Amino acid sequence: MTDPTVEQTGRDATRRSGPPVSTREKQLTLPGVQPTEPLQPTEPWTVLSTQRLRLDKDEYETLCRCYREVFDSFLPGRGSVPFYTQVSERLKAAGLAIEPRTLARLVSRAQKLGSDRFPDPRTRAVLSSSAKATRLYSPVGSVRMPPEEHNAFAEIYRTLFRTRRKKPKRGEGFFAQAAAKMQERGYDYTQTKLANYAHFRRRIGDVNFPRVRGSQEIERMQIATVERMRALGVVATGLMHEILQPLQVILSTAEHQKSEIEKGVVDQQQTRERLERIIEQARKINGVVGHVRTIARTGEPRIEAVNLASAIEQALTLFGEQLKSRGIEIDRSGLAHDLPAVSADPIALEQVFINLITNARDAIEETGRKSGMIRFSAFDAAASIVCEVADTGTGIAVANLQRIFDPYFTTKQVGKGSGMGLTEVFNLMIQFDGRITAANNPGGGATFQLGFKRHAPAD
Amino acid sequence: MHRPIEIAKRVLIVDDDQDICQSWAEVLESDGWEVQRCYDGESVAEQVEAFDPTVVVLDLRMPKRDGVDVLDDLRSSRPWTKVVIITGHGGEDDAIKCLNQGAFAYLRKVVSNHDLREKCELARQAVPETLLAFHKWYEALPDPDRVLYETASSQAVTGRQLMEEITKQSPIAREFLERVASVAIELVVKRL
Repeated sequence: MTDPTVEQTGRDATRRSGPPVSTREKQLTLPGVQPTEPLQPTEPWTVLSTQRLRLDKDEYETLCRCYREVFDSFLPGRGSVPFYTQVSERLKAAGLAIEPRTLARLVSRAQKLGSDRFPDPRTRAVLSSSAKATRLYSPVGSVRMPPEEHNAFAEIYRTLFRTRRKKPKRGEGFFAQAAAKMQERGYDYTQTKLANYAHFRRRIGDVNFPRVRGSQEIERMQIATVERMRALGVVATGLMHEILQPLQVILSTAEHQKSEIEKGVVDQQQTRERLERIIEQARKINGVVGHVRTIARTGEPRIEAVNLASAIEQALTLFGEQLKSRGIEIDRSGLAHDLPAVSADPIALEQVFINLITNARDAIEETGRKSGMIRFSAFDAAASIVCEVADTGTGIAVANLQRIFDPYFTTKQVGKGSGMGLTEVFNLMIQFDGRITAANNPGGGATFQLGFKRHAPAD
Repeated sequence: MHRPIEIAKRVLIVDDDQDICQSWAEVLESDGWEVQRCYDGESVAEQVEAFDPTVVVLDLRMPKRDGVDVLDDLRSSRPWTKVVIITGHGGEDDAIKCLNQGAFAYLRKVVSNHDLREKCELARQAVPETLLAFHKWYEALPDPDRVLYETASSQAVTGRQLMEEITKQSPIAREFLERVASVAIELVVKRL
């Protein structure tokens, strides 16, 4: 088995054959470019050179000045003269001839080096305004949003984005809902204005306003794939343990039988028993492997009638050894036997439980105790089927209760959790038209409550 | 080589997987070992007391009680019993920890029958005979609480205390062992 850490250091060693040089130092040693004074990180004129063109300090200053002048008066939009063409013309007037394309390359290099003399012209609309500190303007000026309203909108946007539907009903579109929520807070915006504003923020690279339509499915699929791969990682660890035990039995029994045959001792009855043991263990392995195959499957989710108890059992097959070795017991006593089927995607549902069990397992491990309990219960609550997963772990800090389903939110150590597990659970539950809530138990630990739609057979 | 005491081929297999216990038991039994199985860490102490194995094959991760704890107990209560760790979990750290704590060998599942036989046999041969002999002598004592011996500081020592001291390898035990050795040498020299 190859050790990835060893391989990594090996590769590093070959790459760093000489003394380590940073990019900047490498640039400085370019032939013909000799810095006369220590390089300031914000004034990299010495490295702003291409093969054909070298700038001295004065020329660099001229470039910065012209750039700034054009930047300050630049209005992005259709029909305007391209930004770098304008700069190039202005430079030509100042006695410095640089092609727009070369200019763009120089500026991008300066930006990469961390220079703040070349702001991105696309952000012009935000930065150039005289009221830049307090007010944010859109390129067309149709939406103005003071910071507190901006923050409120960002928050609403985030909440709505997480719970958005694929095909909203008429009048319940994303921005219609957002406008209503803004109205509740006393801010008057039409949905068009909000949409414009979000669009503008996105254009200037604000990640708080991701695209709602179109990208939704892609993004959700990407999260789902990442999550599935992560689940596979969890599964792989469990898998090793689930496979090792039967493999050990198979090997020992088969080897022993072989040596007995070689010795000439063959007891028919015993041989039969051993072969049966081997077959049984091989089936065990096959079950585990087949299971992984279904999780790794990609494809359209299909909502159908699923038995909750069997989904829980399926998820648990991958955790047997892991839980046993941590002294974690599983309590299924709260699972009612005659539960009606719920409406869900069977594999996704299993993933929900895999995530929740992983979470519970880590929370229990974090307490430092060598024992714990995960309790599953499910009951028919008339309107929906409710399933609860309770653990005896560390519980959830009250301040975090609001955030645990947020993407990339994790309290686990770096490298242990992706912060996507519960987000994925949340998304999947929404796919099933279900809901999920989290709460702390009075006696310690946390309980996740899942509400499922009862499956109604289509007539 | 002449062995004053034949070290019994008695092995206790501790693994929570019953099928694994079964298959290893068959393998070792065919090699002339007397085998008992134990499925959790908690009942090891009890079974060891009753069965008196010379070798224990131990899994690290078990329900109720961790293998490392079991190993610890075995080392302090029965230093002559050799422990072979066979586990599917754990990395280098576990191996180093176990070997530092006095495990005789550390194997990772999946283990071949040959390795299993070999390690058990080597472990049996590594059983310290003197300690085992004292243990036998102690087991045969009619009254372990009778005073048997007085130390240099004229402290009365009963059979039970003596055995405890020997397993702990305390100064009293060392003094006693030295006395035994010198008496033995005297006897041999006189006979010559």
